[in-house]
This record gives sequence, structure tokens and C-alpha cells, in this order.
Amino acid sequence: MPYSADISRDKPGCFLFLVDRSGSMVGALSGQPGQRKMDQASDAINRLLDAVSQRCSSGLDIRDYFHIGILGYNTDDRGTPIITSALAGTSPDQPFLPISQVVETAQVVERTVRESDGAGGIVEVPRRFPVWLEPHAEYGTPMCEALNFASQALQNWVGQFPDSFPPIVINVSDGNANDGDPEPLAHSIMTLQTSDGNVLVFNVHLSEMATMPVQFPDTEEGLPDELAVRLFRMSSILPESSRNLAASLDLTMNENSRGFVFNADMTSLVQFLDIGTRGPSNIELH
Amino acid sequence: MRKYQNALPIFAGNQSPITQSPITEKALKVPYIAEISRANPACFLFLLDQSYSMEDKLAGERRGPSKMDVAVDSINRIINTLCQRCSSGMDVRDYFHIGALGYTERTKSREPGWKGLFNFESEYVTSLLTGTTSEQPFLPISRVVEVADVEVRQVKESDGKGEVNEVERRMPVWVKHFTALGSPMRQALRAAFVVSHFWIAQHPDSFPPIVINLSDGDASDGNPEHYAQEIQNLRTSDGNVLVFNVHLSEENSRPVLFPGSPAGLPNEYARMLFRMSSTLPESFHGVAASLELSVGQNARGFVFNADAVALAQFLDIGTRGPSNLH
Repeated sequence: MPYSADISRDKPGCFLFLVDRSGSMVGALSGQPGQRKMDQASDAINRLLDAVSQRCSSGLDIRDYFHIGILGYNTDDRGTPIITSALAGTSPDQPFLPISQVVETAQVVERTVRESDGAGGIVEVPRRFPVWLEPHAEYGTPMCEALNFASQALQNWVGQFPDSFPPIVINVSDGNANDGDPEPLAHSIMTLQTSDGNVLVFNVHLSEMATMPVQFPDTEEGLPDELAVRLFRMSSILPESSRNLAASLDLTMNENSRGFVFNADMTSLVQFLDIGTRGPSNIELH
Repeated sequence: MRKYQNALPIFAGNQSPITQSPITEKALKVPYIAEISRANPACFLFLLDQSYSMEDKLAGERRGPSKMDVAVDSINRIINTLCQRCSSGMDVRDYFHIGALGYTERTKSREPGWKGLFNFESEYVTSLLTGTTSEQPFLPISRVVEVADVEVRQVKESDGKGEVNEVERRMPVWVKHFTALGSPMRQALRAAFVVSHFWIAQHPDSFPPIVINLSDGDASDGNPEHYAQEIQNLRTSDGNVLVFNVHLSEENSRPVLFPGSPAGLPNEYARMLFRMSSTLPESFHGVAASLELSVGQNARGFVFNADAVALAQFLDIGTRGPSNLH
């Protein structure tokens, strides 16, 4: 059965985040005035990385069960694509870091959050958050260029780890690619494989449109526009293990559900990423 | 009992209760700015769903308090806050009247201390403040202070320098944890209509009553929407009665606070609660802003998927409209 590989230090899992950093990411998320899409995107990814690193912790030890990469994409003022290897300590040649090093590169920031005081009131509590990705937004959206770059990086990675759980690519964007049709490129990434299955491509759409959020749709029908349909087609069908986790989170899905969230608010984004992370769940502890 | 039958048309089946406000013709002025005084107090009526599902955990927590625990804590806390707003030294001024009605299908045999009897299906609706009945659920705040029980609770407090400590505090308690089967919201709103109507008759120039309904699911006794509308049709010379709705969820989803449109709400039940909720008057907006919550022009007094924090914020904002105390 595919997507059942045990995850170990020899056969780690891999997450590659693609983050749209075009100018429009400054806009507010649907229904949440004041919440910029670029903040939502980076918050969600930071939270997810924190969760992944905690899953790899055993006491003070961080075990390298996962390799992580973050690629940001935008253009300069003349439309030249800029693909940034956004994780500190990575480079375009070496876009991945094992999770133990990812943990070391985190910036820690303190923020005040409101929590229940346990008796019907609110208390403001300072909390420390690890930050890897800062919000950033300028100019165009070279999604095709980003997918090309990702394809090359993943080809190298699966060559190095041919028996691992296949890499999971999570593309977080708010809009249309302006450098061509990204759909065939996403499909070509999905043809890459390890002995455990094909590379998974998931898409998260952060939208300013005030329509119903759509989580893990199993059909194009009912999606609000062509772009959503295209992102749906660019998304892998969720493997069975993810579906089981989704069920435990009370999300209904079937064997055709795609790794795609349209008009995702913060929560569905985090839920979605959480499922992606927990997909490779057979961590061998030894 | 009879006096209500004489005073009001009887509600029968789905028939409309009276829609005419006791204040029919008054010169229009900006609403929801009435000065609050002992002669013209403000009025808060809490409606609490006591169905058994309120025993489930709130917002995706596996451990921790139930929805009922959180609802009860939040109501007690906000009543305490309202008491403090009326306190001046040792003196408590009757700026506010407070009522709390619980609704579930409790029976006399289920709870010996059960009190209150309506002439219509009243076993569904119980007045929760000591010394009140479901026909007369309101107490002036000086009496509210007197009927409080006290519980010692662990409370997290900030020292203002970034340290949060858990301390023991004596907390006043008015509303207690109780659940049974069913959530007859329709009956509860009907009762709220009647008692609001009579309150307004006695206080025609007050800031209009604020009815805050806390529930976790669909009504078990038919569609409640109509009655929410009828309550909102009641008014004082300062404006229409406000109906606010809190939906508590066991799902771990983002709370939707003060939505301005039903688009984006996940199901028909949520959209119905949206329609059942009054538009938040202008005088409440400043409070929201001071809590760094952005509230749009058409925002409704509604929170969907509330967690403990969203609930506390909602009640704080929802009760701070009548702020012009004299």
C-alpha cells in the first residue's frame, strides 16, 4: 500500500512549502478585515513547523524525521521572477534542512494572546512563538517558475531518499499565476515518486472573496471560478491515511477528496496543514 | 397567571404574538443613547440553553470545561461586571435590571427546587435568579447583588508584568450548571417576548432591553426565528429591543464574531441565528474597537463557534451599549 512508509532518520519525510509573496498578499483575508493574507500565510506555516518539530522531539533531542524547505515566489518591478529559499540556512542549491537544524534557526518572538482565565473572564498571557517565515509581499506571482524550481529540488530529494514517504508540496497562494499555466507543472511534480508513492501536491487558496470556504472538495462543481478549478486540478487526491485523520477531526471526505482548500480561513488552513503533516504518521521510534 | 392572558393576546400554535409596540408614536431620535438612571434603568435578559449537549466539551477540547461550564462562568462574570458598574462606594445604584431564563424540558419531578409556572408550556422555561419567577424574572441590580452565592475558584491573573499566576478568588455565582433533555428555544424566546413586553410597559423611555441567547444547537420545539423577530419589534422610545445570539460549538473552528453578512457562515442553522440577531447599534462599536476587534457597519450581535475567549469578549461588548450612567 502506498503512503505507508515508516518514517525514520534514514528515511525521513519531506515538506516543501511554496509561498506566494506577490503584492496582493497585502490584502485582507475574507471576512477578517485587518488580517493580511501574508500574515495568515506565514503564521500558519510557522505554527505548522512548530508542530512538526515538536513531533520530532524526544526530551531535548530533536530527531531528524523530516526535511523542510520553504520557497517564496514573487517578482521584481520589471516582472523578473524571484524565487527565495526562505528558510535561514538554506540556499537555492540546498533548499532543504533537516528538522533539528530548522529548530535552531527559529527566531523567537513574544506576543500577548488572550486566553480564558478559567472562570468566565479573559487574561492576557505573553507567549513565545518560533518564527521562521516573515510576511513579505511585492509585485507579481511567478507560480510556474516556483513549480519548476520545486520540481528540480524534489527530483534531487527523491533521488537521495528513494524509499521515503514521498514529499508533500504545499502551495499557499491568493491568486493567478502570471507566468503561464501552472497546471501541467503541478502534474509533472506529481509524477515524481519514491517506492512509497507519488509526490503529493496540496494547494491552499487565501481569498478576499466572501463566499463559503471549501475544504477538500471531491469535485470541481460548485467552485466559484476558473482559478479555483485550476487549483483543484493541481491538487493531489488525499491518501487514505490523511482521510482517516481528517475523519478524526470531524472533516468529511471520500476517496476523491483533493488536498485543496478554497477561500481558506486561518483555521481550515491550519487544519489542512496539520493533516498534511500527520499523513506520514508511522514514525518509528528507535 | 390569568393576568397575562388578559393583558396579551394568547400565543397559539404558530400564530403571531402581538407585533405592535407599546410605544407607538414618538418623535424619532437617535436610538440607543438613552441616559441610564434609576428611573430609566437598562435591562439585560440572558437565555440559557440547558440541553444535555451542553455537557460536551467546548471548541475541540478533549479535557477541560463543558459548554455549560463556560456559559455559566461567563454569565456569572458578566453579571458581576454589571454589578460593579453600578457600585459607588458601598452604594449599589439600580441602573440595571437583570433576568436569566434557562430552557430545557425539565419537569417538577426532575428537580424539586423547580420554580415558576407559565400559563403556556412553562415547564420548559425556568427563571434562574433566586427570588424570581419566569413571569417576573428581573431583579434590580441591588437585589441581584444580595442573592449571589459565593464560590471559591482558581482564576488566572496577570500581574501586568508578563507573569500569569493562578490565584484563589471568591466569585459571585447566580447561574448554576444544570442540563436536561431538549432545547425549547422557541418557548424561551416566547417567554422573553412576554417579560420584555411588560418590562417595557413599565420603563417606556429606558434604553431598550438586551436579550442575549446562549445555545449550542437547533431548537427542539420548532422554528424560533419568528419569535426572535417579534421580540425585536418591541421597543422603547430609545429603540427596538436587541436580540443577540451566542452559538457555542464543540468543533475546533475559528469563532465568527459579529459577522456582517451570512455569506461565509457554514450552514443554514448558523444563517438562521444570524437572521435572529439584531444589527449592533453604533453605540456598541466603540467598545469593540477598544478591544481591537474590527466590527463592520452591518455587524450583527452574533457569535458563531464561540470559544471561552470569544464568548467573554462578546458578552463584554454586548452589555456595554448602555454606558451613559447618571
